[in-house]
Amino acid sequence: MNAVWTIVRVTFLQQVRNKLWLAVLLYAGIMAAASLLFGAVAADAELTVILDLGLAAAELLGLLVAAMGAVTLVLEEMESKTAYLILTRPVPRASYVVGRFLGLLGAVLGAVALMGLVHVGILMLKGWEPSASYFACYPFMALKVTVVASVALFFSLFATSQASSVSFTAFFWLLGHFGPELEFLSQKSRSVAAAAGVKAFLFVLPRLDLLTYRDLLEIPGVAAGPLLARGAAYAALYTGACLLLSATLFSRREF
Amino acid sequence: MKVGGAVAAGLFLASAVVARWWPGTSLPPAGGPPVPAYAVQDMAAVLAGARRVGADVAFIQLLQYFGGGDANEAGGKDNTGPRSTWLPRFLPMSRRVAALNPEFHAAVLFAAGSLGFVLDRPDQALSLLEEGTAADPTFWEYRLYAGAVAYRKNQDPDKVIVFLWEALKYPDCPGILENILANLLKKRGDFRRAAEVYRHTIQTSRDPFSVDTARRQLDRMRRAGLAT
Amino acid sequence: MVTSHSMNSAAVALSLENVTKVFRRSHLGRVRETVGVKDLSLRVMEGEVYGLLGLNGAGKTTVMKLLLGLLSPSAGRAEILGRSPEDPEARRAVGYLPEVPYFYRHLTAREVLVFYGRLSGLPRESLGARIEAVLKEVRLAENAHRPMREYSKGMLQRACLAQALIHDPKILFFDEPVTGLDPLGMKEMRDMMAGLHDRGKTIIFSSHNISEVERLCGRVGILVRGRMAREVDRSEWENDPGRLESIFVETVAQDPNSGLRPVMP
Repeated sequence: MNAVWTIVRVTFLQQVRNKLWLAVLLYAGIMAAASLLFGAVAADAELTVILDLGLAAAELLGLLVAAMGAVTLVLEEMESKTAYLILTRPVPRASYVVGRFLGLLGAVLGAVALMGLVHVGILMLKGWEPSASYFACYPFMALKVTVVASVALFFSLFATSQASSVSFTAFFWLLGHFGPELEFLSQKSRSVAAAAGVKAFLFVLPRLDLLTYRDLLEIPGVAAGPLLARGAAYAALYTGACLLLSATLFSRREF
Repeated sequence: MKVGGAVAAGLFLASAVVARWWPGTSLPPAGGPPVPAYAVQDMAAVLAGARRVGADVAFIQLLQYFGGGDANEAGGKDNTGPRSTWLPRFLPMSRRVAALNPEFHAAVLFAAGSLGFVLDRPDQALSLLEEGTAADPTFWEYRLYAGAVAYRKNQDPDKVIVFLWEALKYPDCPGILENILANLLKKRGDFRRAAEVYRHTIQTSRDPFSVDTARRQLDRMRRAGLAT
Repeated sequence: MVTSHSMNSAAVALSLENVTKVFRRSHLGRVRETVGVKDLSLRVMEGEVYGLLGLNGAGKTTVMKLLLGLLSPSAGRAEILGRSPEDPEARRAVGYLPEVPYFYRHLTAREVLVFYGRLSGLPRESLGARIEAVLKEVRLAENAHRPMREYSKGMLQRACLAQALIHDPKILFFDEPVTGLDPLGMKEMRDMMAGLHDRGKTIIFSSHNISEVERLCGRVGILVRGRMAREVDRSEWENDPGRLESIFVETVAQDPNSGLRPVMP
């Protein structure tokens, strides 16, 4: 655990000093421009649009930074050989992978939290009244970022290049929101083989639709608590699987 | 390696069990695109996990269509034909917003109000409100607006006023309908309540066009001595 | 200095027993195999300074990596103090100075030593004092607050030495320790290595620089195309300046693919 925590700390610092805060600045710029634009064209739905866009932008930026960071997290260290000075020490390889992952996650989620503060500031300037369901979106966002980052980390160790890792991650991210539709299609399909193939694929596809609470905002009777419990259980199991595979792949790596 | 792989497979299986059998609410599948021209855009919103943002953008496109029409389309607002022939894609574009976000009540109310009171297509307005009620039976304001449209169809402005006056109390009332209510009240000679509606619009609406219209109308009434 | 005469009484610090390492690379569906080292055996005794010499691609780095646990043997066995190189106790006994310093550029020297000290298992309470002592030993105390990206080549090399020493290991691996250093830097490094040897450390280092190897090593292994072609004891060159170079050239020239002709006596 000491080794994991030590690596988490240094990875977090590395991400912050690598100007992760620029993503927050970019977000603030986007939201400032959006609030001016949508004030003019969205009629009575101005506040709804700024709220939805702000949540989506924070999640998208968080996902981008986490995925790009995860793809390079271990690969870059292997290529620059920074990993050698760690792996020649009494540090289990799994601890190294987990520590790097958690450090990156901590930095990205911190950035997303800052984006949230910016968003709340802009909304309140527009006369928005805070609601608990809005703030409930952020834990779901954190879970989604965690899952996608773990997928990116796995592909970085499995695929042959950074470009292919990013492509696979993007593919899984997009299809991860399409789970219900894919399940619907598999039920309607006349081909048994195709239906079985889709069902098998759904087994490994991350179900990101379970972690998109912001699309369920304002639906009456939908409480965030039980959905968050389900999302957290799902994210923990899925992320655990990806991290375990990543650690296993990394333990067999030669340098 | 084998043990790690087996445990990982077990974790994936457990996560699939959670996804399949742990009960929870999800949005209904997005379904086929009501407007083929926007199919790619809507699909992108679904794939990006941004259905609400997709619905917001679709609503803005609906507003722009309502405001400017489509020069390539027969039945644009510049036509001399009857209003019921204007903006033929207005209903599918409204359905598009609701398909992406069934909880976007403000958009449905705006669309139904525009269909019922501006574009003279009350049946389409009622159809849209019925679909909205089916998607969210708890949003009972849909029934309020359905009543207003139904009486508009029956050409009973007094009953329309009753329903719209009630709808005014709720935050989702579109500015365009507040303006229509004020016009109906003025036609009935009820200038006091018409002025109240305009003041309400100025204080609460976020639509610059509606606010601007309300200001001008209120000024005109003041100059005519019909309001304070 | 440990020589072959005193080997019998000293314990074995590092060993490779009949180790073969084959690298497999697949490219466009075809698998290419390259032999890194073949049936290689060596032993380094505790307290010894052992040098690895060889042309580029001879297998020096492969030998170092096999002993460090960065590579696994395809056949044979590698050991550090009688344990597998992947054993945490073995790792705790080892310090590694790579050819090129691989650091997180945004960290200061002090932060780097805290990081590697903690990873080596040093307790928090004693880490501070140990860091200051090592910084003083490598003469980096005055610049320890600056980020690594501002360091010169010589300072980076000293920082690298510091991280190798922070946990006071019994065995040190130096990979081309004087490459890229100016003459003063080379002398400083040589003096530090001699000082470490005087303190009883076991050192294995690979180098192209025969004169450095001559000065420091008690024994030298000459690698040719992945095999241990010859081991040379210090007594063979100690009183004959330039003798080690001649032995090296002779040994390498015996390989028909070396492009060298044997030196005529």
